Amino acid sequence: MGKTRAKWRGGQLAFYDGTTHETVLPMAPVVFYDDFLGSALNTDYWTGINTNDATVAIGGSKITGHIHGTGESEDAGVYMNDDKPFNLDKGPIFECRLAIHVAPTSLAEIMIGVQDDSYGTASNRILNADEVTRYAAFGFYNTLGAGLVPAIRTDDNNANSGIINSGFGAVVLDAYHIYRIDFTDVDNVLFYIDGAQVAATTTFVMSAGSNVMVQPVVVAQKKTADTGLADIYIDYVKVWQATR
Amino acid sequence: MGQTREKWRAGQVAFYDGTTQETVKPVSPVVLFDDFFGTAVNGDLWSQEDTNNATKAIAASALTFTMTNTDQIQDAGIYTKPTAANTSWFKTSGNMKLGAYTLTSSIFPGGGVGYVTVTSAQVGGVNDTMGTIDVVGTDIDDGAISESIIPLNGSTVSGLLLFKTITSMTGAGWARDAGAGTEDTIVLGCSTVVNSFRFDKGLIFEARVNVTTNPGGLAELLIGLAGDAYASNNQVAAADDINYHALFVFDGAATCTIYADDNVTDKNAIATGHSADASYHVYRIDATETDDVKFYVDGAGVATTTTLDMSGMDGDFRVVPYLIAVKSGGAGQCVYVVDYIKVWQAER
Repeated sequence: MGKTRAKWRGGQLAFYDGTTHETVLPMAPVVFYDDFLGSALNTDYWTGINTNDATVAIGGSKITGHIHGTGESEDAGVYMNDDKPFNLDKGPIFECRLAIHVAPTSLAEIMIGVQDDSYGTASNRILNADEVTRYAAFGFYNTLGAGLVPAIRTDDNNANSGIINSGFGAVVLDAYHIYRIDFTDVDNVLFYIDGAQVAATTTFVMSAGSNVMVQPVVVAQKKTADTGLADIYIDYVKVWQATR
Repeated sequence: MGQTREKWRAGQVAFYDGTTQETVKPVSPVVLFDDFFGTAVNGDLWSQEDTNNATKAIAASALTFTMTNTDQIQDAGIYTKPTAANTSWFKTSGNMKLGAYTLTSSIFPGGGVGYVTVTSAQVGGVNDTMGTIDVVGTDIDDGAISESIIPLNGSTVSGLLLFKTITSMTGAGWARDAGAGTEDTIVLGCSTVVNSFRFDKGLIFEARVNVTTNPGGLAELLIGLAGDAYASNNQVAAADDINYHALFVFDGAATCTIYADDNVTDKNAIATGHSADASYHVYRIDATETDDVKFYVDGAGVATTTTLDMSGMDGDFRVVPYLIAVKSGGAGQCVYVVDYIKVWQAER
């Protein structure tokens, strides 16, 4: 059992689990948190994506997203109804606890992060293709560590970071990790896994434009007739914002 | 970026934003907080009004209510849902009779206060002589009250007194119809019960609101707490339609005033020095001391020279957060955006 600890970021208090580094209680004005309890996805907040044979299910306090080996376009995951309530200029922080159950094969990929674009079914890839205009995300795809090494990519429609190896190493199947993206400074967006900063030598810039509004997106996806696989477990999604 | 600060009120801690004064995290037993994320309002919790040409919308973590200039009654706003009417709460259907009815409860759903309803139905083709249902109980101050309700065949009739507890309901003056010789039936229940938050348990209301188009003409914008069941076209400035209320009111103008009424003392149009300016402000009402209810805008006390004694709502009186633009007709418009609503209560 982790002990409660407190941290300050930009003068704001947050309580976190000293073992897992989960941000348990951010004292921010804007806080969104879904632990996916219950037997149905809250569609007031979320769109559950299950294109073609893909499935998305809720149970056991998690979302399971599954894409099949069928040679077709598939998306499995959740996004926030294209409502985009979080403002990059207001210091949002995104956090998601996720496990990979089946590593992405072939041209399947996994995205964990935020985007300004409305979600594009069969056109929302950031690793095998760059189909989203403004985003910041962790990702997994077969090219990097057989789909088990987290990658990072950002694009503010001015500077595209390209695909950056997080340096975290390969995750173990079914092992949960906490992925956090900190936009407190949009000129230096920070990425963390289990509380430790990753890709620290790369400066990720998301400062193009003003009041860019984003939504969380966590999805496994592939396009056209690809036969790739990928399964994810999403335990929770939290987003908090330092100012309104 | 505001820095986290903490404050104490009646011995309870709350964290707040040191710049905007928003109460970020009240550490209280009862806390309602809705930031209106998503693409739909939680219908289990909230009722919304958009009477006639008025509109409501949710997007980007905010609610927008619009009252148009059209000459008609319009209500545009939101309040928490009261407990629904339950017309058989006290007694399911049975024959009418002389004497006391056996009741299944002595309190109202949720432990709040409410009005008694009597529903009767004819049996046998001929109406009985209805007589009265004599209701005895207590009011919110635990004082004894009683009233007689005259049943109306085929209808539900509501009493006029607000009861906290029911001691007895007794049939008087009733007589079975001589022709068919069968008793008509009766069901005893309650009308809508307002039971979300208890006013005398250290209640604090806070909402962040942007009045983007100032109320004009006959439009009134009400922000705060109300104790009556919602009814369309309930005004507090042009008319005193709400018996129990603690409200910031913009009455046909940008100027913000305070109206407070505990059905004992009615204080109207108290100046705050605050005016809407098409930007967000944090409106807070603090009923920690019901004999000195305090109003704040952006963390600063307003109308501080006036003592707002609302202790007439002590006892088990319940209120709801209430944000409504309303007009009875004629010209008048108003547009306002609700960013969040928080209500917390120091005790259960």
